[in-house]
Amino acid sequence: MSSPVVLSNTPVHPASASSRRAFAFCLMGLAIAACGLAGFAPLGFSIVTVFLFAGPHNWMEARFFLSRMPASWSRLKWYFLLGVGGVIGLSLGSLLLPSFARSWNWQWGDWMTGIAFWNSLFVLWILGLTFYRYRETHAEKWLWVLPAASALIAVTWLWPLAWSLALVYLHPLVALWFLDRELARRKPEWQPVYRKCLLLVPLFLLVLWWRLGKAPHLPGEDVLAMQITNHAGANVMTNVSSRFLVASHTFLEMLHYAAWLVAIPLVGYAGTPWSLKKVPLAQRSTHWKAAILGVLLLGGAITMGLWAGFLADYPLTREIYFSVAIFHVLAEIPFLLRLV
Amino acid sequence: MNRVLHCTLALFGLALFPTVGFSNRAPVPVDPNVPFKITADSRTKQNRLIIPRKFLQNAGAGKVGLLEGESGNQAKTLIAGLAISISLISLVFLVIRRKSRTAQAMALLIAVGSGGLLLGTQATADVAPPISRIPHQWKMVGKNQHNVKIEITDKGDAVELILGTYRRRTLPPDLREPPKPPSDGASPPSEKAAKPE
Repeated sequence: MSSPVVLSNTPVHPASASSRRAFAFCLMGLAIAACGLAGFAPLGFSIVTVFLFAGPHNWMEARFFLSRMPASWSRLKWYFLLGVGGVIGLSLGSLLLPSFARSWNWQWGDWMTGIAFWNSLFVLWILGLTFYRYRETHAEKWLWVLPAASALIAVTWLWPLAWSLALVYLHPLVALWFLDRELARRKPEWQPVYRKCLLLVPLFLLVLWWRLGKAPHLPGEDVLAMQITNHAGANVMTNVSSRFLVASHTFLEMLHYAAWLVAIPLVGYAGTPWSLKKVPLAQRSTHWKAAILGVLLLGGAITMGLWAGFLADYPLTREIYFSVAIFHVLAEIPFLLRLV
Repeated sequence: MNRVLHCTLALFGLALFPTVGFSNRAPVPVDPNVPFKITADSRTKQNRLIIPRKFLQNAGAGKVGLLEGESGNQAKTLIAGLAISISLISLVFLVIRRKSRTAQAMALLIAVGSGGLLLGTQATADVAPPISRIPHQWKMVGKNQHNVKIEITDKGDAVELILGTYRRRTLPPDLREPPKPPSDGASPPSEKAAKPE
């Protein structure tokens, strides 16, 4: 008689069919609500979601990464050094690019070269991380990253802006990938339902395209409207309705926020987010515990500061936030590669 | 072995299309209705494209003196070409290494995508019309003088293509250059001309 194999590090919680159904209903309800609100009020929905969730979701991400960082790096030392170094270096590069441009009086072509160079470094960084993963696991899947990364580098030199824009739209989907990996690890019985729901995301985007693809551009020549439409790529894809671009980007962003703020904590944490019992780094020593606590408190203070900034000067705070947000976009990569 | 042969044949087939020039897409001007005129100049062999500075500024290029040089574009195309080559070569090795149908289907998809990428990056100038629309003066341009010199000017309200249609036989007698004196064979004509009388 065969017995089911349960991996020691894979806690499987018994879940009834009703819990799976409730999970699917929640996902569907959220996606429908997000799609509807993004479609009917793209600008307003974007303003409100960024105001409410931008800060907290970063805090939750930081909390998640702390819980996934091993207490001792040992043989993973070079992987994490490359990961952390890349996050810091590329973030600084992205932040300083406009300063370089101003100092050296860059023109259009110089800007494109600068962006293509940064994008290439980003791809090479991912390639370096996957190299370490290959050395660690010897899984053939990591070898496929080389042709894909080379092709991406070609794309970034041919169309630097298109690649950057793709990053804006792909970043929200990374959260959904994290959730998939967490479900596989913690709630495997929910994963098939989740994957079926994921298939509906392109359908929602098609609905948005059907309703807004030919709609007139969003009204408003003010700074905030231009910030939001340009962030969604309206200045690059001038032939596509800015209403559709903002709606689709806001819809994906909302899914991203929901994944980090609700779904991943619900699935991934055994305790409350502020409890450090399950954070390996905090278990090293009291100093480490104090440092982790300090980081989380600082994150909380920054979140409060962001809310205050949004209330005082929304466009300026939004601009600063999206300039700094590249940090969390990059920080996701090393942790995602460890889960894949 | 069969796979190696198939891959080699596929690469050879791709290599049969080297005649198409690839480069970065030209920056699209904000106002695509740039006035454009074509004239013929029978006194010179040189074709010239004269672009008023204001149209280049509309195209996002900024000050013309700081325009990205041809070498910059070539470097970008070179990097992109190298990256595509690495991508395709590594893909071929991986497909040979792995013998599953899924991998082969994925490789085919990427190869088709790369082909589309290459075709999509053909140069498309938004300023000049297609060559077929240039009037009959183009026929007057000699076979070996199809290069166009680009000049930027502060004046003018239209982009102007001047076709150098000079041919010795077609010039009227009063515009023909006087015949050069015969060389004595001891020194080249240029040196003789440089000597003071």
